[in-house]
Amino acid sequence: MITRRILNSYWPANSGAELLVVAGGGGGGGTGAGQYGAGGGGAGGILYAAGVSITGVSWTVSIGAGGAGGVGSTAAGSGSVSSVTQLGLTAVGGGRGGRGNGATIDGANGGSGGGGGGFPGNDPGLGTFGQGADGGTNGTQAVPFRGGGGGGAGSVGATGGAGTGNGGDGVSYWGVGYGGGGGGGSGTTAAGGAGGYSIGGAGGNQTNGAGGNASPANRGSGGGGAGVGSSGNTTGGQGSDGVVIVRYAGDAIPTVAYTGTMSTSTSGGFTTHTLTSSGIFTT
Amino acid sequence: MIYAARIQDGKVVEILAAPSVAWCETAFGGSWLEVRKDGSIRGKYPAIGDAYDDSKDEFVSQEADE
Repeated sequence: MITRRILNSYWPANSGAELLVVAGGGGGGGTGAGQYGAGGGGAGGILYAAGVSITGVSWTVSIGAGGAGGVGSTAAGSGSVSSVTQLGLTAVGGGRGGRGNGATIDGANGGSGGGGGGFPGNDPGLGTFGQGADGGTNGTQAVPFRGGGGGGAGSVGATGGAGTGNGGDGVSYWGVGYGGGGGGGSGTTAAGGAGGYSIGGAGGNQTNGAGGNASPANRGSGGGGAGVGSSGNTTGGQGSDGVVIVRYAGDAIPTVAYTGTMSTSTSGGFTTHTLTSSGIFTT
Repeated sequence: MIYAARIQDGKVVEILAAPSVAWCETAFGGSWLEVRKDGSIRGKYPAIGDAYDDSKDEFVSQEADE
């Protein structure tokens, strides 16, 4: 587990706000009849900023959606960017997972890269420096022919093939995990790869087919890659949406307002605004 | 809250969680369409890179080159 938390006791009240910008996670790849599991979706990119002035601001915030899972020979969707325009903060969406059976759909580059599909030559995607890690490769061609794990914000996705295909780890801010990679799907009844940090979607297998959706919501995690089903096409899991968090010492600013969806909590001497849909944030 | 896809040159380039389609058009410009994760409108929940067929009001998936 990687922790980038800043301890409350070292955070002076006059140091401005902390911001966390998390993009949408990528969807897990799909697969069809055959023997190869699909790659897990990559985590959405994560950016952290501290000491940000929060007096009299008006910020345009976008919240990127998680990507769709692939189905059979249909490509999965990468996650979408989350951003705070006036601060120049843009987190890149997580890369889609690669296709399982059949060629020509690689894992995509993203905040974290999507895992490579199990089929030979379906490569993983690369992560963005400072935002996430690379997707896992499909490894050696061996039972249970798992797809590679999606990259996480904290580590590279695990190698598939005979490897675990687990999604890459996420990172923790203020005790909450973000950015887990999706697990790679399996080509047999053996388990698919586990979702990274327990928030990425798990890979499917020959028993349950579909990859799991990333959960809970708004953690910017990748969906699980599809497992080879008992018949026909199977579906990758959806990535989870992104989020923007604004946190500062003291009580909530009385004039704070947001045109999108926002929840506010105050604990331990800090106020936290959690923004889960796009909007204009003002103080 | 809804999900809105931005369409550029006939393809999906991003999908946001947003208050409304009109809000996206005002805040970011360009052409936006409502989408749903359950795929209950416009044929499917699209992926970035999918085409939009305005004659059918549906998204068209990217298929692998077999």
